[in-house]
Amino acid sequence: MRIVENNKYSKASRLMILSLFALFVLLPIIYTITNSFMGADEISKYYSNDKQMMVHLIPDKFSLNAYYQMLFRRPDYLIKFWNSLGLTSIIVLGQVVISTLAGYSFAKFKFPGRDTIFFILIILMMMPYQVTLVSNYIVLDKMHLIGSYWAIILPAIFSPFGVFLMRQVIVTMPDELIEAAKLDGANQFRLLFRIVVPRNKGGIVALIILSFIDNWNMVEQPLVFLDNKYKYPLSIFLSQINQSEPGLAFACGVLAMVPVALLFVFFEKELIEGIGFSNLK
Amino acid sequence: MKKIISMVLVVLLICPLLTACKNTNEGEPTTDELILRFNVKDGICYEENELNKAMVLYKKKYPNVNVIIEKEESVGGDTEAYYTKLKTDLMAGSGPDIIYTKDWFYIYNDLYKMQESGAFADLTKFIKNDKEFQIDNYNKTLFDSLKYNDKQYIIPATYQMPFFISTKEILKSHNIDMTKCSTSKKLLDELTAYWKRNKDVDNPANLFQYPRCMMFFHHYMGLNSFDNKNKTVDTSQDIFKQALDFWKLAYPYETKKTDVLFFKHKSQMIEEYFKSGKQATGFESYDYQGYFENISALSMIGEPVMTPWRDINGNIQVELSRGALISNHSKNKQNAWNFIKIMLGEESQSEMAFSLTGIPVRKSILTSLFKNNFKEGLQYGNVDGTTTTAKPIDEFYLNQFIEFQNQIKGAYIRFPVDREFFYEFIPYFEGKKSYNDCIKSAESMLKIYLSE
Amino acid sequence: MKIRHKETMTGILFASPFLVGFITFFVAPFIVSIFYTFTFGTGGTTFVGLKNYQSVINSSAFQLASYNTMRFILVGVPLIMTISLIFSLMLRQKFGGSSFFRSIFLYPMVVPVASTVMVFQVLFAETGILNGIYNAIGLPVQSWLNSDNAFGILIFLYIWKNCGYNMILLLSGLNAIPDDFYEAAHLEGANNWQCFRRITMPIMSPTFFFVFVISIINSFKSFREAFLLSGTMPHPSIYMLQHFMNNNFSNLNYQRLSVAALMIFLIIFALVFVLFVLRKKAGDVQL
Repeated sequence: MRIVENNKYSKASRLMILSLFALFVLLPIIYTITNSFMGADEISKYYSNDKQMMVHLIPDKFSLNAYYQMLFRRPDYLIKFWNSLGLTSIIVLGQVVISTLAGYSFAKFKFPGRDTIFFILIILMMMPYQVTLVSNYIVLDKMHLIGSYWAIILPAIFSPFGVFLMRQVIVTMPDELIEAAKLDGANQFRLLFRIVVPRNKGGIVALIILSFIDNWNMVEQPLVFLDNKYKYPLSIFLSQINQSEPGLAFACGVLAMVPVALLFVFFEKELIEGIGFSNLK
Repeated sequence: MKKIISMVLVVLLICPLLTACKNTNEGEPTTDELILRFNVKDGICYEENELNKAMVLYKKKYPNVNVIIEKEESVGGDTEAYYTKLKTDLMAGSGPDIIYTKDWFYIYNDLYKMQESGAFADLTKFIKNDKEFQIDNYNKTLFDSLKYNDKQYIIPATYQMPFFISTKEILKSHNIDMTKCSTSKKLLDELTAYWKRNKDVDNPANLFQYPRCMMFFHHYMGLNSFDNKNKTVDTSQDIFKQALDFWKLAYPYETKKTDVLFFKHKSQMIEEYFKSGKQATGFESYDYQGYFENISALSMIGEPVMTPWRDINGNIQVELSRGALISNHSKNKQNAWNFIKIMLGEESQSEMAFSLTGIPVRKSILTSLFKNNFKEGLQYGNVDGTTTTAKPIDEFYLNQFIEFQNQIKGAYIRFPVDREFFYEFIPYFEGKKSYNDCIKSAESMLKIYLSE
Repeated sequence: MKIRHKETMTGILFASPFLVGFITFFVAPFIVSIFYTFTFGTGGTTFVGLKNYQSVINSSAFQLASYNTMRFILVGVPLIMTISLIFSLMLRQKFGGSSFFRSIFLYPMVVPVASTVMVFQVLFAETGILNGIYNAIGLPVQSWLNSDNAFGILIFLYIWKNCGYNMILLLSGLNAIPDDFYEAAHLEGANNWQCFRRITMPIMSPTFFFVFVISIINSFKSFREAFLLSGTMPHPSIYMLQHFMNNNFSNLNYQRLSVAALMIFLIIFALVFVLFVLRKKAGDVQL
């Protein structure tokens, strides 16, 4: 669609607008990263509550003090990091398996109540978590899971978002492929693993990344369902440290970004393709 | 047809869950357990220390009851997580039988709203029917003013009373006449006059040793600024503005000091703050032990004068310090009530009076406590190793103290929004916003808060 | 017939692990909370009928919260969809750097919420950077987070965080439309706007639906930013339904919480239902 004509003028202005927007978008990220390399005295010089804060992007003195404090002097940081990593990985793994199965089922199979259930799924997916928090707690309490990681893992694995995403992705797959495979004599499981999964790899990768981001940043559920401070994930640590020690907060933020950024870098191509397919039809 | 089948299946799946939820709440009351929960902060369990005597006596009197103590750690001072878990447990139908409130309870929890939610048991029946419990041993006004909707949920154990402390000589030297301060208005008049006289003086002496106590001024004055029951806000009284104007005048001086420490008993600090002229008066909500120990320390530099902050009618409003509530779905309510009775008994109350928790609510022991502990003068260690013995506290102060207790007309509970409310006025103190603007934003914030 | 029956069974089999979990952790708790809206007292001991509903609907806090939440959705969602649409139209053609821009716009999702909040606090605090600029120009210092501007800031945060994601979605949808459609339309003399209306919009409507749903979900998630910026009692302009629910949770009053939750459910239900009906009318059978 030609909303602009392809001449030099419009190309240049488009580039300019996009660059400006990109800078805007990146500024907070850059800010966090550069500020993480400042020493403790610099941070207190520029960020005490009474003084006027200024745009302080480039550190006067490059210092790894914040990182040193985080990694070596604060043992709880590393504990929480591995907590987060383990928790999130398990959730992502479980969610991918269950959502792919269910998404495939909703997309390509007909069974009674399918559309009604899907409709309810969409609506419940949009509800904020506070809605089910207390009743979830009661259910988990009955199962004696309060205090263990399973109280967080189980509800997260069965989150309807994954099913929604996978269903949208798989629905775009042409039926002919399935029919052809069936004619060749493939049974259901073969179909699943040989055709459905590889063909929709993009969607699966998209789910991995989105689910990882969501669960990596989860704060409220661990606070309520876990009882031991040592079990807390990194996201809680980050929100608490923002209040108490702003100097370390930047470094902590950067370190928390790292796993997600890594995932991004590895899977970027599949992600963009994957998100792309999720909406068609 | 298929749709109906699937709906029925779903309902069948859910029903057992529902019945499971319901059942636990209406189970048969068991009478052999009592569950308490305490918070361990950085290795110290304050509640356990305060209730130590009560627990020992309870176990002796009711040996068949299994007292279960759940201890929850808040590492690094993160008490909020402890209360979140407590609240979630209470909502889910589990949790301890007795909830013992301590000073930091009120920072994180709004007791008025919690009472409204029906989380606690109404203890009026226990109070009326239990022959062992004599309400006359206690300050009945206190109990009554802590009722909510005519139901007694909270049982007070100790409370605190707001006092200005100084010596006759120091007051005279600053021309402050505390005997005039028989109501809030007269007190404010006197203190405002003081600051008007002294604002241009070099290094003037302060009246408060820590400014945050001003946050609760409307409680001390007995104003019903926020009415939790009717969800209304009333800041229209003249005295409200007068108090804020006083604080606006005093704010730059009183808040300049940053090195204030809690000085409850250390005579050195009293000397440091009073003798050195840093304070003309000190102000705090006092407990029993701290009150008399301060009198003793002050007596070494003069004649102590203790003036309560009286409310607008000339009576005294006190602050709930330690209290106990029983969870509404506890199965061991009778056991919990027995424990509360013991907590309010002579021995436990005596111990609480001397563990900095407050003034014991059992008024019958106030005199005997004094006679047992303050008959002789207190001893203070000096820097050079010698000890000084102060003269014994005059009985006049005991009688005056007991008289003050009889002048109690109401009790209040601190709650979290006190602080937010007060902070709305800081722009007014700093001259950045007009009074009416501050009132408007404070009222709109409160209106939302109260109607939640 | 036999094949179809077998297929249905397989379908149910594949969906069953999810369905079991979904019912246990989502559907059943929700129904339980509806049940609790009719009771009083923790643990659901006394039945009080509609008293909770009366009390909640009449409370000014709830009314303010609903108003703000609706305002946030009605302002934020169309805004973010328009902005992402404009930018994705700009990025549609492959030009030098288009893939670079595409990845850049996804980065806000990578940053943890707490870090962004930190930066925005520095930006908008009383002694923050924006006020510093104001000072330098000579404008009076404003209290950004504690005024009606807080709403704008929250919307801005919301758009900042989620624009990239929406853009990628729209972009792939746009890229799927074959160019020949537009060629043919241009040959017949259609201008750009007509192309957009007659070709782009109808084909993109499933995409729009998805983006709409995701945007609403993300708008609820922006509660986290509001909470980190202003605590439990924020300025009235950003006091949302989740604040109401959160504070009632803190006060052990989850009956009121559940009533508010049910209200949200009904609002969303109405929104999605309307959309479904519109889509069916527009002729698309599937989502």
